Amino acid sequence: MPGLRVAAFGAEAVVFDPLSWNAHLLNPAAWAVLELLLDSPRSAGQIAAFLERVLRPEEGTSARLHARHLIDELVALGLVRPVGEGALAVL
Amino acid sequence: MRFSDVDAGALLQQLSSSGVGIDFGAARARIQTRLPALAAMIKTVYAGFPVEDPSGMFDLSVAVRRVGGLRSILRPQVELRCDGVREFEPFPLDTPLPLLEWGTNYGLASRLFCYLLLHAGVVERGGRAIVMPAMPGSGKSTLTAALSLRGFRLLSDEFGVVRLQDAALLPMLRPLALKNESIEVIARFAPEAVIGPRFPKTHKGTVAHLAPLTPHVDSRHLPAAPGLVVFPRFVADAGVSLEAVPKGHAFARLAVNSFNYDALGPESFDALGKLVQESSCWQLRYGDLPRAVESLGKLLDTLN
Repeated sequence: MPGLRVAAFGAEAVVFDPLSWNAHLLNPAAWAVLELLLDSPRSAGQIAAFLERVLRPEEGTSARLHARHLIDELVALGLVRPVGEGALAVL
Repeated sequence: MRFSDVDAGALLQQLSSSGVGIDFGAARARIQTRLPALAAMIKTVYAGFPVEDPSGMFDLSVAVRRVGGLRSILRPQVELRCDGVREFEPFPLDTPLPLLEWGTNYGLASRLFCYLLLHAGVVERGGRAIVMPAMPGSGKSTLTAALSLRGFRLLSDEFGVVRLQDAALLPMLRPLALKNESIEVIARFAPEAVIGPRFPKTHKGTVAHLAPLTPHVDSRHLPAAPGLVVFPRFVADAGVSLEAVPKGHAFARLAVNSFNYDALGPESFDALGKLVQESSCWQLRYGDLPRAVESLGKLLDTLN
């Protein structure tokens, strides 16, 4: 996202949306997903696989559900958008 | 020449005509009034400040005057005008200093957009600042006053002034408003402290103003680097406890406690991010004032 500003504090971060001027406090999982998408667009499946790797083993089984929930929230906040062919990106 | 050195009659004369300038550090104001009682109060609580030439440039011009008309016979009042505009309702005639202080704070908060303004007390020692953002009733002013009387330099009680370019804390030095029980707490804590007249029955209860120390006045253009962000909360009989606050949460709480964070957008986000990044963030619960002062001193020393 052009102009997206990030204040990263270890595992968590606050991001500033230059379109809405809203700031959002991201927990470690949300920040990890946003960082991943800042690198390049990813599909929901790739995000789930990523979360499966980074989450603790006992949480890994629900990674897909967790990923869906996170993606929905990031999309609702306007930080992440579908870019075609099932991919999501920070625009 | 400082306010303490000016003859009371000459000060009233100057306040009544072109007014006097006061330099708070991050901002300057021109004050005018014909009220002899208010002139005497200004002389007490601004004692250490130099009397500035009123013909210079000012961020705010404030005039306090008695309200005229028939109604004033039944209910004498004073009004305050910021840059010639009456922006809020008059106060009772016997509370001119609370009106001047409150109105000046209001005027500065609604005009200064070149800084990020936090609602916070700020003190400094060894070049590092302690920023204490808090909601009313949290014990912020009591703690800020006590620290300023125990070797910490007072930058501000009401405004945490953050320079946008580098997140340095700038002084906005003004008399420190103490309320209710905290007036006697500070009078006992530091009997040498100069506290102005008590004003009972204001909308915040009894209010009195602590005069900043002269060495702090003389340092009012000296910034401080971020050090600690401490969210104070007075809890009777609680002793003292400090608990680390995650920086993301500290950021959010500081933004909520700001006068103009929303208006400045990306600039305030960057400055606040830098302030939090460079600070150690804590929640302080205290019921023992001397121990709280000592604990914050020790905590600040761990950074230097």
